[in-house]
Amino acid sequence: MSYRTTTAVVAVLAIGAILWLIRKDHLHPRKAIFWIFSCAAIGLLGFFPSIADWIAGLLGVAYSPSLFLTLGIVVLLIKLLQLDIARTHEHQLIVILAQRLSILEMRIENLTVAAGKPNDREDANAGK
Amino acid sequence: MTEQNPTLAGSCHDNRFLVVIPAHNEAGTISRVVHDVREQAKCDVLVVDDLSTDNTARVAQQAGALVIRVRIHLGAWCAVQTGLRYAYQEGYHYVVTMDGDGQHDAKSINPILRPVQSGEASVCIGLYLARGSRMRVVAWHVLRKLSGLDINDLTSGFRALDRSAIRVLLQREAALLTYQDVGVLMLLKSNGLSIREVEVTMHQRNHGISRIFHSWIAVFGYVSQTCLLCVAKISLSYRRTNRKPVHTANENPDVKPHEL
Repeated sequence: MSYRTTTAVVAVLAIGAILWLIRKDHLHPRKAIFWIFSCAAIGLLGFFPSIADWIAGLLGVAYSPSLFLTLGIVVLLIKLLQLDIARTHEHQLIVILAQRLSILEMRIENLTVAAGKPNDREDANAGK
Repeated sequence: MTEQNPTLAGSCHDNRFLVVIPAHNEAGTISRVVHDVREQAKCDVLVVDDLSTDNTARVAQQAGALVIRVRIHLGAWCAVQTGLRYAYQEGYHYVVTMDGDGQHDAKSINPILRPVQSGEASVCIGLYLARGSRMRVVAWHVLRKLSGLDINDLTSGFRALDRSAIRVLLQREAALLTYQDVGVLMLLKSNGLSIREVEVTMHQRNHGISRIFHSWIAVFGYVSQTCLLCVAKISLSYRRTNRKPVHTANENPDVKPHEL
């Protein structure tokens, strides 16, 4: 089996895995687009390495694998940074939502007590 | 659970200020702190229980405090922010924040509240320099230089705030802060709010340890994180220095109503 076939099989398997993750609702389709295109690019460059040589030649890089290895690392670093930015936004939202939720819970608890109804949350906390 | 809820009884708006105490496993001290505050200041007390594993919330309720129990561990600053959010929603005009470990003296509430109530400043910090250990002095010196803040006690959690300061601290970006010191003060300063310091007395910690200054590793983490914040935000702070001070809630364009 040639390296071209190996790369193509890996790319197809990776695309299959992405589609499975979308199907199982583990990956949002919007996020999956990046991964589908990445896998397709890996398959294309693996199956037609002359494309990589041609692009490297255009950019004046003598050894094409080093160009694509560097590009791959840069893309992954950008992706990681993007993930941390997204996590930061989510952290802000979670903190604000948790604060608002706890205030609302306190108000409900107060109303429940004022109405003389049994308080589930108090019972649950007492059972800890 | 029967003693909760002075708010619904309507007493808060007569006093017009709320004392917010963030608490994490402070069952040993919180009762005395709440009693002292209620006795000295005759105001509503809100304890924000930051996912304690002991019975801090119950003890605080029995002592007559309002209690908010947060569902995830937020840390001291975000627990304070929860209290500020509640105070803002309930229409309190002033908030005093203090620790639940008994270090802050309830007798000092009125002295730090006075400059804020008189309109002399939007924020007043309870200053106590004598507690400066070597670690604390080094950290303060570095951070004061870097942040450009002309404030002696950067880490004091004993503060009085007026409504415009509360509103500024409810901004979304404030929810990202880990510590309630330099980041919070820079945010207040960059929004043109005036900050004053009043010397107060403090007691020895009765229970637990300082979350920041308990080891050199913790201090390193705190200083490096805060330095980074200072360096990243310094230009923003200077750009806004000449901004008109925010006096009323509606004047501040940075806070969106849905974030309150």
